[in-house]
Amino acid sequence: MEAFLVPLRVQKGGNAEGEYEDAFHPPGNGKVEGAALRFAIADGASEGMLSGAWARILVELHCRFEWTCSSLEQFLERAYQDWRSFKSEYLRDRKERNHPVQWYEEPGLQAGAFSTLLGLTLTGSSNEQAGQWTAVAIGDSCLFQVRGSTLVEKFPVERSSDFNSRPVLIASNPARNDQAISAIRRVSGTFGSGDAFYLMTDALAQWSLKEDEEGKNPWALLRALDTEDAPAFDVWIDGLRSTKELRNDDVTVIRIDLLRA
Amino acid sequence: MSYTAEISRRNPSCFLFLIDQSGSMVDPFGGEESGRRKADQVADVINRLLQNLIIKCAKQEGVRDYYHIGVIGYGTQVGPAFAGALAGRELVPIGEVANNPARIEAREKKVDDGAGGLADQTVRFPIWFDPVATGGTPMCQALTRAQSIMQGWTSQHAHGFPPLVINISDGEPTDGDPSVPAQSVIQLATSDGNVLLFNIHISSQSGAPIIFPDSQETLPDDHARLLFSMSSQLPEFLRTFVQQEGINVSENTRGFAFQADLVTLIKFLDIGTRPSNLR
Repeated sequence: MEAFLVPLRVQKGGNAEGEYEDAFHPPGNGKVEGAALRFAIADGASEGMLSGAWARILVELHCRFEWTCSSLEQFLERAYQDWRSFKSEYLRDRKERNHPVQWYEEPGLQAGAFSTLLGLTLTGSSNEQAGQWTAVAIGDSCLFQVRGSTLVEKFPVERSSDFNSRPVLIASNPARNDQAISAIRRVSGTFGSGDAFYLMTDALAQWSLKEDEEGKNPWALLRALDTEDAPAFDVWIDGLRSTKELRNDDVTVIRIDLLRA
Repeated sequence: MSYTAEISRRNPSCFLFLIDQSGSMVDPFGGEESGRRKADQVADVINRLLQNLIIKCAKQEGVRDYYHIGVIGYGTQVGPAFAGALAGRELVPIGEVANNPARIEAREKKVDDGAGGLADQTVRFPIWFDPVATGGTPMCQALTRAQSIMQGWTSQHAHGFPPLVINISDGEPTDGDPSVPAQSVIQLATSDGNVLLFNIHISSQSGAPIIFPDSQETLPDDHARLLFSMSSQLPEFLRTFVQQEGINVSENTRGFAFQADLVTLIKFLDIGTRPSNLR
């Protein structure tokens, strides 16, 4: 199975590049191949400390975790371990830089970080471009499966009007995860040669769903992104923000094209 | 639609606090038996509001300037009440307020221990204002000053999220009827909606706190009724949030609290994704 991967990202308007708090994995673009391919995207909450780092921990772990024989709780245990290592290194670094934690950072560091997670696994035989996919989601990062110009699957958000700014997210603090564990969603399906999957964080996912609901076929536009015929991603996003079609937020999309056999 | 403008560093909003520092604030708060003065309560309310607002805007390594903050004191004088490095300034980016408290105290607090219990933890509690109680209660002058500051802010931020003016007082003005200058404050607007004026009534009366009432009937005295009548009606977006907190609302619900601090208000401020599992 071969797929072509195109990740595109841009930070919230008015923010510095280093303030981007979405995450995606794998990090590169180009051809990927194998009997099982993993992809993940996450959106660190703007309210919360070190959310971008927590989002990165989740996407990286999703892509190397042995999901077939493990539960979400086991996944989270591993994620908490990675978070504790990251946080102690971060605090050590602050100390070494003589930049101690300020009073206003303490409650946020105590509460921990929050993020969505959307993970996709494609499985198929090495000499065929068809197979099965499974996806797992907590929060409002979305997956769309598109065949030609038709949206054949949307997950986990069904309608553009269903987005809000108060999703249940995965917390780095285990005490705050009861809701997230019960809110986890899973779905599976099949794919064929030529299908495309899009993983998106909420702002662009909401725009895409709305365009699709209005019969405007956003998929042709999204399929053309990162090609010579399309405007640069950040310029296109800026345009949508300035006309208020797109909420001002970090924007991330991974396009996964299943190459035709 | 009103009250939908983005709040960000390039589109900040504004909070202006008016704090009653008059001589009547030496009277007991919430009945003789409380052992606290109204001035102690005012200082506590303003310090807690500032603290929570700053924490809301904090990210690792700094506070983002989503708001401009002003504090006008009224008692012997009417004017900017910040001390130290911020003395004399009417509106200050919130990051500067965060980094310039008068002092930071250590306080014990019960926190979630991550295993279903509570643990004692020492937290740092910033103090910007100490209790003050001298002079009359020139509330009309304070509101007139607020109107002037807000006129400047709304003309400079014509499309910004409308400012919120919060007056914390015992409701006993000594310079006339404050309803008129209050009206001139809430008539100011950006393209996103009118300036909001909320009142927090700190009273010597005992009685349970009241928050976001929709009529005068449940209020204990004329001072409370005066402050209620001066307060803005809650716009629809705030009515929705208040209702989600389990408080009954109607179109007559106003931004008024009796013996309460309105810290819950800060949870409603929308500056981005807030996890629903973060309370």
